[in-house]
Amino acid sequence: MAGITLTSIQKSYGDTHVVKGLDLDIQDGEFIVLVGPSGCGKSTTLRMIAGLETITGGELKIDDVVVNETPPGDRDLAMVFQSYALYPHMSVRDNIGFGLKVRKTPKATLDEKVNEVATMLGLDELLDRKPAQLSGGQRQRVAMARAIVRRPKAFLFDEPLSNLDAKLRTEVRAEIARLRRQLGTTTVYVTHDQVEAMTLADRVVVLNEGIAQQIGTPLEVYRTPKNKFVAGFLGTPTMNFIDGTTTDGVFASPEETLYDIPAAPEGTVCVGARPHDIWAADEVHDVENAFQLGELEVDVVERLGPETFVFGFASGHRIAARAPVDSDVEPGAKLPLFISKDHLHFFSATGDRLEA
Amino acid sequence: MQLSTTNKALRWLSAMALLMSTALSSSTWAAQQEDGEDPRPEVVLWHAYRAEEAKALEVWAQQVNTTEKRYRIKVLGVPYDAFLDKITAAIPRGKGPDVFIAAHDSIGDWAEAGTIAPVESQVDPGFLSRFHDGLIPALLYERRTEEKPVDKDDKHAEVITNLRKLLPTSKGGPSLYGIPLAFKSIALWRNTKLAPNAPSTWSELLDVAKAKTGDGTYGLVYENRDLYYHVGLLHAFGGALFDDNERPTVNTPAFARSLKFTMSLGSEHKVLPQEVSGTLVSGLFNQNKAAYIITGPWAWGDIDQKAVDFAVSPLPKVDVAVDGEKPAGDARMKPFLTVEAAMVSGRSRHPALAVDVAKRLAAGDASPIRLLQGLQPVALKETWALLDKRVAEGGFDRQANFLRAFREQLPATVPTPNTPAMKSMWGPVGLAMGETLGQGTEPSKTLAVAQKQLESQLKEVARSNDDVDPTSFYAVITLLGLMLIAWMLLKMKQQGGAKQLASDVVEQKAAYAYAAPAMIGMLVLVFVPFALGVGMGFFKHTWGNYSFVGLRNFVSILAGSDSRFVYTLGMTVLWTASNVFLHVAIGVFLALVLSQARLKYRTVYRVLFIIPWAVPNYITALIWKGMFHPEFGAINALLGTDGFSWMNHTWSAFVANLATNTWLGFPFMMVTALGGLTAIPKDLYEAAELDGAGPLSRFWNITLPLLKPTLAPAIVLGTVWTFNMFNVIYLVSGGAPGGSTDILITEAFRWAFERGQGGAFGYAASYSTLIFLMLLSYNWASQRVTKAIEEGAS
Repeated sequence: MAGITLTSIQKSYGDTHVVKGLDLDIQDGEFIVLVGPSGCGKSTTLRMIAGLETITGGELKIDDVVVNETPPGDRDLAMVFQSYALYPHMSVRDNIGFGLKVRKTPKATLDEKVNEVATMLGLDELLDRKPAQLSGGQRQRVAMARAIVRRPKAFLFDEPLSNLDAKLRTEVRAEIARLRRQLGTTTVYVTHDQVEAMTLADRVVVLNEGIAQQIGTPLEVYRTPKNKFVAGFLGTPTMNFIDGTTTDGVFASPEETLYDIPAAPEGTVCVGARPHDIWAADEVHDVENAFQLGELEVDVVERLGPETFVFGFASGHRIAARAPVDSDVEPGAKLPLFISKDHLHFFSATGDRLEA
Repeated sequence: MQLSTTNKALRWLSAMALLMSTALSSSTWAAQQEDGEDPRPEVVLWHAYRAEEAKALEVWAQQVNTTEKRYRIKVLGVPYDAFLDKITAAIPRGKGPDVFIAAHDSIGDWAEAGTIAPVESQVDPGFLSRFHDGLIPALLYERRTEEKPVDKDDKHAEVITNLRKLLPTSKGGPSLYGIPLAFKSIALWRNTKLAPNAPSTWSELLDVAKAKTGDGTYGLVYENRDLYYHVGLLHAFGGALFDDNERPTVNTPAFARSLKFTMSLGSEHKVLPQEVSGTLVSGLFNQNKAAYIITGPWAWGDIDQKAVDFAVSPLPKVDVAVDGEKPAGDARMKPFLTVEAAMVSGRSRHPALAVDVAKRLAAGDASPIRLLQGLQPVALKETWALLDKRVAEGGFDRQANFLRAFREQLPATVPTPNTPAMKSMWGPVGLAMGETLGQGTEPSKTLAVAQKQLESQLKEVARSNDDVDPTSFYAVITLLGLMLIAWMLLKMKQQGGAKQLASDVVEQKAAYAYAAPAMIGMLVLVFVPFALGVGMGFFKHTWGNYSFVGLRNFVSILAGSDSRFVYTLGMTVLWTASNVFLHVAIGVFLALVLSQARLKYRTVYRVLFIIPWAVPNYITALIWKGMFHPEFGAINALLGTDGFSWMNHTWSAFVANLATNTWLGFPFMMVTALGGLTAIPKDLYEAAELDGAGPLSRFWNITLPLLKPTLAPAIVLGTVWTFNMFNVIYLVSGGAPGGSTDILITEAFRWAFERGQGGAFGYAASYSTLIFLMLLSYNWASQRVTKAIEEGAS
């Protein structure tokens, strides 16, 4: 177990800059999730930590030792790949034990460790099979077993759940969480799925175009996003944004005036409100400091079971909001929109967070 | 139905194509018809002349055709290398010429096979006396085997019967099988700048030769390892190839001494280069780097007249002592005499006309043309009188000297025996001479081996064909055939019977139509010849006669006392294993190098590495053979081992073959491996890297196992191809020394084409069948291994 420190890490291919100066201090035992859209540089960063990509600029330290030039095999890290990268011609047992075999571990020790890890992941009965004879979920567990058996300083996960179906994804996610509790190893986890980020991370690093937009705990990043990008990235359905200007305490959007938005800062402002926080209903209860934001002409209704979302237009703006689960709203209905003023987010013209 | 534009265009195109092909074929038909308007029968004349000789012949034929009323001569030139084989193959099928020009030494084989017809009934002694002495005897031959009775169903039966009536074989005594046109033997040529005078003895020759040898120049260059060039010396030492009863006698002290003499030319006097080929002889002469050469009139065309001043004279007497003894008696070198004659085909439709053409060619206007324009030493005595006249006209001195030299040599020549036994002589004696002159083995030893081989070959010829009753063979074949048909019928019934099969075919007729050409092609080009080949292995063949011998060929190959099968099999296996190993190792290595994305000019290298495979391997083999020449080859120059003769030792000849074939074979493995490498996912290597595996470990644990499924079929293919790699073995080492680097397929070839008796096709076919069976079992075994590997890697 070890801490990993990235100082001004950069990666460029010729004139293309993929990672533009990342600072991150990962504590010993911490579970860090790098999340962001495709091309944001999260996988590149992970591979730089692993040693599979060269570091163009900056310093990488593992356990306070600079490892920029250290070969991957000597960094004592283990990686779980998106495609599992299992050796197809070797049995599960040999796959798991490969790293130990390469390091000339004596056979008795090797067998013991392999069996231990196999039990940990429920692979006991599959040890003699070849990867082709396993299901996707089983293969992913073998990949994890291979990473765990060496008890490395840190785990690196590169979008490990992307190739699994929705149900399996939930199961394996729980598995990862369980192992994390059991082993407590430092982990760097890359994903584009915010649900994984929110549920697994101690801290989340939201990346966009090679720059860290915000680093914080999941709830921090969700509740107080530092800019419009982070605000819009986390949370489904996406946060509603309304641009406008506040003059003398009155917020007006270019198309039409909305109802008074309390505490909007002066000047050019973008107001953000999560659909989860907006109720489309005739009246609301148990919402502190609620005020009416506008009136919604319902266009689309999505009943998900535990929740119902409605989409439509309010004063010319496209708005998504929640409706009470037992509401019988249909497209075409008109409903008032209520939100607590504590749930409003304000952003400047450049997209940075503004305090009310 | 409305046609789309494309359809219309296609129809128009195909109509045009049809029209054009009709126009073309009708025009050729018309052209042929034009030819056929000439009512005179055509007499086809084949020759293997080149350059001036060929031109002279054409000119003569045209002259004849303008005046002759009874027939028309059609001249056809056939390349020399293929000439004899074409004659032997075409005439029995009724497809050959009516008359052709060839050397006399094949008369024995041809007479036995009925390829040529005797001509003495149309020539009288007066006519024959117009030719030089010693030429007619070369053209006489007495048949050993009975004339084949004419098969009534043979469509040429009538022709043959009429021919035989016209030109009956004289009972008791030999018949004349050709009319002499010209004679050839070797003689001594000298570079007049280096050797101004014609030596009359070998001591004189050696004095000059030794003085002139040095700095890349050699005193004497001739093909010393070729029996044909050696016979002159053999006769000078009082030896002979056959005794009075026409039995081979090579194991004689005279022969041994003649060989020692030849050895001394290289080892003691050092006037001779190593491994002399015909090309080397003319090549060095043209560069003024040879004082004396020994060759025949055929070399005239290879000499650069402007570059070399030369003259020709008869061969000198041997007055040099060998083993303390000078040759007794005459000691004149008596080389082989080759008589070029016009011969009449045994299947000619116009035999009388053919003989007439032959006579005209020998004694008519053609003779002066052949002498003065073709530069042939003509057989007709009276033509030589024209030589003086021609010399007086000027500009013919060198040519006249050239022609007269061969005429002067003529009395001191011995016609090459035209018997089949002579044909068998070349192989064993060639081997003996090769070993003695190449490796220095004591001549008496090598000659004793040759003698033994010759005697056993004679025994084989004389052995009566065991009248094995072929009935049982045919019965078995018929039974197998019936079983095959029964099995096919059963299968058909299982799948619904004939009706079902018919309806299936109709339903899928497009599919069957597409597959039909390939099926028919495979049947005709693969299965039928294959079946015939296997069947041939049960027969013995001599001069067109097949006789059933059951399994005797196979038994003889596998268990015969003088069978080289086991040794050759071992050599073939060693050859195959070492080649495949090197091909795969080098191929995989290069593929790994080329698969590095970072390598600059990758595509350039890929193209370069494919070139060895792209060049026809025949040409590659010849180039490499030249590179391995002991004195002029690139390999010795590069390695600094000047003078080392690669073909003299089994191990070095093997290495030469191996190098050549490896150069030819690695690109295939490289390309296959390259393809296989791209199929290995990159992240496997990354995972291994993180696991701590270094480059070697990654290669061993990931690359190699995942490459095996791709390489396995390639290796099987490579093994089969290498096992049967005829070209490299035959052309590079030629089996040297002494057949020790021959592989099974070259052995089979030699049995079919190089060991006389008209070709032991049956024996060779058995060899081929055995090779097939071995490769079949190898393939079966390797398929099981491949399956195991594939299961392992999936």
